Amino acid sequence: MTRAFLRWQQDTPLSTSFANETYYSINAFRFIDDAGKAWMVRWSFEPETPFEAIDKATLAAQPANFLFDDVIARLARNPLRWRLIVTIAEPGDPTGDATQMWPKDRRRIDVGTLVIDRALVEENGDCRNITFDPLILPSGIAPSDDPLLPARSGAYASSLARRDGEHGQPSALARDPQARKALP
Amino acid sequence: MKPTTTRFPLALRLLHWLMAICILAMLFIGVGMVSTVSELRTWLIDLHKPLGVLILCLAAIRACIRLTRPAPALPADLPTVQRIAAHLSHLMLYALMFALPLVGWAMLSAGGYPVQLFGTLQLPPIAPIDGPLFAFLRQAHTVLAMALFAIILAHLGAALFHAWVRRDSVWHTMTLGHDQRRPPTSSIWASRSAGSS
Repeated sequence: MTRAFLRWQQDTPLSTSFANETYYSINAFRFIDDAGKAWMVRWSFEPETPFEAIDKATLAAQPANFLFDDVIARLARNPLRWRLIVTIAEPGDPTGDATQMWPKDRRRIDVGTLVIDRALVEENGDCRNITFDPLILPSGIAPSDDPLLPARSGAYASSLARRDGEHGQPSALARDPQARKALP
Repeated sequence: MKPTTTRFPLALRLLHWLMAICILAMLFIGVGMVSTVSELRTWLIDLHKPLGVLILCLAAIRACIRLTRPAPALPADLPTVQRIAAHLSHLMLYALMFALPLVGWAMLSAGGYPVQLFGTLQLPPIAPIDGPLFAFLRQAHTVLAMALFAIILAHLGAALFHAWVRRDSVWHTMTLGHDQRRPPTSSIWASRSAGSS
């Protein structure tokens, strides 16, 4: 498993930006349709911004916050968009093991678009104090049998309590006058 | 035997034992669910929330009965220290029966967690979404639960002390069966229990 991950890390080109990267659910979930039938799915947000690769030498020469600066600069020009793609499992596909890929030919449904039109620093943003608990789900979406889901839920709850129980420093971005100036 | 009431009202005694089961189960469910990251965690949390709300409702009914109906007096010969300890521990037990579910509910609200009961039935949040508040209430929930556990052990110890050592009227104020202090049953029960301890 570790070997597969290391190979993936070595072979997969790095993207130049947050904006042209794909984001995966990793875990499987149950989507329940109007008839009450459950579908085992994994979802991903696939960027409308075309992918561009960055090599490791160029990457090493970038300043520490370049990905944040880049996305702030892009958002100042245009909103950024991703397609929400739902991939549906066939019977027998592993839903309880996030380390196992599903075959490439699985049915994919484009169910919507995510539009991001502004960025805020953590300190005064809407994402503050949110735990991204994968078990806080809207109606129609239910957990799968993946044991990582309760593990993530527990670890995130503990992390939220510890993180917010201490008075931390403002984020690096909030302390960066350059980035603050660029934010709307 | 006193001419005034010798036992708590039946409804209160029933609630006492029902809540004893609920609260003891709850303490172990609580400790269990935060000690694991397996699927058991989700299962136990889904049990913890509705059971907590049930305990809160039962505590409200129980407090009403306790405040409106006469309660049996403690034995006249009970030392003052024990008398104070009895009243204080009962007060704290009542306070914690309310505080724990409410702190738990507020904690989930502050953390942005839904207070899901059964299926889609959900309670409204009672606190604003606030990280530091969540962290504080989360810690308070644990500390209060541990305090409740400790007071329950003291309560149980005191009840058995009344039943087996002092052999006074206190144990039977809360039992469900016939008042076994009435002879001849009382002496048989008391001596057998004392002998086995």
